[in-house]
Amino acid sequence: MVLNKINGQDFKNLITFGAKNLRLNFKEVDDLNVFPVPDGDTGTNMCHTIEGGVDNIRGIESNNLSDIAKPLSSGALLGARGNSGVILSQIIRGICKGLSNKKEVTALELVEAYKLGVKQAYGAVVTPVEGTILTVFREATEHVSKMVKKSSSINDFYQYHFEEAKRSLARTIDILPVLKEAGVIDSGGAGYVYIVEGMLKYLNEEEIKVDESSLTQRVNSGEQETKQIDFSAFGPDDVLQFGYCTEFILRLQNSKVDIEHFDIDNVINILNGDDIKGDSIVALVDDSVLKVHVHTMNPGIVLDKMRQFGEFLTIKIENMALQHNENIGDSQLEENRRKEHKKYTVVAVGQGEGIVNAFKELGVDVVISGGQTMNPSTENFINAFKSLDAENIIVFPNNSNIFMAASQAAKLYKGANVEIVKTKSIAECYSALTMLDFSSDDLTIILGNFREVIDNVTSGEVTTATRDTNINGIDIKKGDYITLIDGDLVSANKDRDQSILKALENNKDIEDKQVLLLIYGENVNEGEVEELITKINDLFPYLEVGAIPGNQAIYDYYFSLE
Amino acid sequence: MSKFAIIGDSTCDLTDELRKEYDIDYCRMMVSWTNKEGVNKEIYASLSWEEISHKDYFDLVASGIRVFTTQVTEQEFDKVFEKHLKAGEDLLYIGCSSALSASVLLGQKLQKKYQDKYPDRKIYILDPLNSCMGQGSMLLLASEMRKDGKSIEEIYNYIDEHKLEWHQLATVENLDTLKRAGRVKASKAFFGNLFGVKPILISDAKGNNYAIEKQKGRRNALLRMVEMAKAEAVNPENQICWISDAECKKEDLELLVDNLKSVVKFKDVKVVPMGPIIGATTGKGTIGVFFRGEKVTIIGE
Repeated sequence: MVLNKINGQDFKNLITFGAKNLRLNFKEVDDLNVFPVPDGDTGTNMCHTIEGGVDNIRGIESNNLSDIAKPLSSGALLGARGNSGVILSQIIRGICKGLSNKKEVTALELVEAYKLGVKQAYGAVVTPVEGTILTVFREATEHVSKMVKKSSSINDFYQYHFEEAKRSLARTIDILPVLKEAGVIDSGGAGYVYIVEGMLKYLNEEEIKVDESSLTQRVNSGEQETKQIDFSAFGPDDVLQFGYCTEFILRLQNSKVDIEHFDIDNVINILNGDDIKGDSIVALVDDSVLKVHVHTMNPGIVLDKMRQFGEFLTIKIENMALQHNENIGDSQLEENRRKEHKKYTVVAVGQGEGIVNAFKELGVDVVISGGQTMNPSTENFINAFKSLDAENIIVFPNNSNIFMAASQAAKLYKGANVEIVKTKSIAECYSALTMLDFSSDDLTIILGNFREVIDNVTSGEVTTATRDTNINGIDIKKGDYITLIDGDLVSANKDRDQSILKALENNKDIEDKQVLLLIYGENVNEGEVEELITKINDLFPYLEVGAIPGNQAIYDYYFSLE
Repeated sequence: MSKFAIIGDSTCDLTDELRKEYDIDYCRMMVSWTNKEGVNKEIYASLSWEEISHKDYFDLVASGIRVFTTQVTEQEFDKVFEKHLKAGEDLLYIGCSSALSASVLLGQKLQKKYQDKYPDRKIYILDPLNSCMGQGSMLLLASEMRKDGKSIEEIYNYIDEHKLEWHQLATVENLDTLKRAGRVKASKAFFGNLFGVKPILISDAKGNNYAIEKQKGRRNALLRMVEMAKAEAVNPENQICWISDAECKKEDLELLVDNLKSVVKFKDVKVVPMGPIIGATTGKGTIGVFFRGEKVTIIGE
């Protein structure tokens, strides 16, 4: 088929095909990993992100582009995981902004929307790095901007866009030195190319067969299951203690407010007012759609007051005493809902039974399941925030690829002050938590202490190589135990203990370090840990060495050196 | 002016030599434990270490055996106090901080009994709100003042007025003993699974051992104590800094002593072995630094 214009349904089909094609190829994208470690996840993250958008438009039959653009944008925003995922969500958001007032667009108009995508994506990243998905998307968009004429079809647009995206992707290897050394192209860029390829397949009337079951494996998919509510949890003599979880979507009305200059703070101030005393507030406005989540004893006042801005599209009010499932999918979050009000709370990302337990023992209020192999989404963070009754939430993402989703969630969440401590590893987080001390009651001091601890931590990881390669002049054979220190590959050896000992010996700060903590994974038994500790003690008698079980997969050891 | 006795107790860390040189007596507390064979053992918490050596005692504590401590008993007070009272001496008893032991409280309670029996004698019971060489160096000062011809009232009033000027900075090697004994004030979050974390313990304005902050690593904790001593000590060049030591590693002790001399510039730094009572709750590797500064105002939560 050749399309000269696209309407809402066309765009929905294009995006759906893009998502399907990425799903078909996400494993290849995952494998485009700089280090030969089995934990690449860019493809998975981007799938979750775009599918978050697709889920949100699945049932919409409107031909109007603007009816598709908004839910697509907000679905992708909340579904975003990983840095490439967050950037993708911002690209989609920008494009959707360009489509939001349109019924249909020509190829030339589509170029303008894509340019907004570039602007939005670059604006969302604090320090844009070239040689990534940003570059691929920007160059492909610049190319269509040059090539697309008034007479061009939508097919022409995507053909040009696709071809330049592929060329740009091939160039990423020369832009980023880490890619060149590892001999791989950028994974986020590759994911984007698969999306555009899928869109072209739709226009070329090719089929994409995706195993549907792989689509449903996702955690926290947008679909809510039929709820089993236990009404007995609130009896005739019970007193309302926890209030109502109140959620609504409201259409702002021109007759009531100036939609273009609508200030979300007006809504938040009302929800924070003495009559509503709202808690766990999340408020989002996207053009004329206002989405609000609030916990309150007085939902009636919320509804009355919100009508000054527009009219409701949907409303959901639930008594929080009932064991309802607010699409959180984690009973621990429900428990937190009933916890006492706290001035300072801690949210950390972690995986592995031992790590989760250790974090909780050390005072973490909510552990979000995830890590290097499964980055939590923006929505996962928001749900964790909502479950806390807190003034301040301190977040430990524990992986640099989770920073952006955490920051995006922090910006969206209005119910508390959210601070992100940029921990790059479980080991860093553990060290910071052992020094947890809120007694100063001064956020600047508390955060400053954390940063000081983290600056002094050298963190390491030990796993096996997934391919033969050479990094930092170190020859690595598939199956070797490799040790990474602060993200740098520093040793490789057939013997696991030797790999760690070499890494420690070569560390220039080892003489100044006093404490070494090993967090051992599910593949390591206690006897092996004891043996390693003896070897370390022999080599470094002044180092205090300890170990705790982390039960993590893939990484036999995380360690922190302080 | 009648002659008077200066008396401490088992927590004052004064060695045989120091007690002899300064003519200081002491009341003994008790320690007891059940050894690995299930045999109960109870001995005097002696500062002469006749029944168990300092090293063996702290190895025992480090082995995980819980050592129980008992305050000075009435019988012990009778024995020590009456020895001096019968000899016609007045008494100044500076016991262990009332926040850590009930010995001073019992002494105050018994004061009337002795006063009735020896109406001409003066009996002063002083709560130093301190222990180890904080308490010990107050006793030494009392003895020096006695030598200078000060009266028992003058000495009591001076030390009671100035006792909060004695500062303690201590750290432990291992948190296990401290946690087992539960004798240190700290917020719940302070302990936990704190591998590598070293608390810094002060004696607060109420005489409690209070974990005021924590450091990562032994060396960091020791160096932080030096930094704090530098900030807190008043006229360090004119005072002796005392260290109570519970079998610390030699290099740790040296690091601390060298830095207290070179950085804080104390006139001298002297080390004594830590006594069995406080040591039973803080464990092997505990090290405490004592000196004078401005009055302590901090009160642990």
